[in-house]
Amino acid sequence: MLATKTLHSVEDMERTPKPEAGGGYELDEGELIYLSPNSMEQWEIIHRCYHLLQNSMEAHTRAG
Amino acid sequence: MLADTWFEILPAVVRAPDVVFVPRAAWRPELDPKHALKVVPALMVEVLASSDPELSRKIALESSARPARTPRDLSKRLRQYLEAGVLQVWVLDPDEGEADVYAAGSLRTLTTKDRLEAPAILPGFSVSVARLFE
Repeated sequence: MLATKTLHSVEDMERTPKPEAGGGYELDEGELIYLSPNSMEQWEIIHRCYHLLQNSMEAHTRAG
Repeated sequence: MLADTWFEILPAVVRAPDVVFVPRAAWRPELDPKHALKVVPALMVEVLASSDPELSRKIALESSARPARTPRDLSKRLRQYLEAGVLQVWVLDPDEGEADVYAAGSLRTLTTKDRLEAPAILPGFSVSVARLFE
């Protein structure tokens, strides 16, 4: 027997309360999917990457 | 540069990549970061980590959502990013100390001995892969 998928709109997804355990939702072809929270290690890499990119952009802008 | 933001990159496909770069020229004043942004970033970055399968199952049961961050999910996610027109996707793998750089029709795997650069998107950006995983 095939499982049926419940399809959601973007507005449905935006209205879905954030999980108390953390993480968040995305929409994949109308299917709601759950992303578990990032680990501390992931956050560190995300922040480092973000700041390296940001600093590079600022330096590039200053250099004209 | 944005993080923790939704992007509606294809119809009914909303993703929240770890880090994104949207060129200034692509930004429109009506875009509201409180809602899913209908704009395709030039660069998306995903950082791999082992998910918590117990937590994913629990939330999925409560919300009727499907758990993400499976290998199949990553593969589909990358396909969608490139189909939407994202120029480059970086997948950072701290366990392997590698950065996979995806672009239309190409994949390069960089190690901690290499430098990560994207001259067509971010002129002047150059960082050693090792620096990302310090």
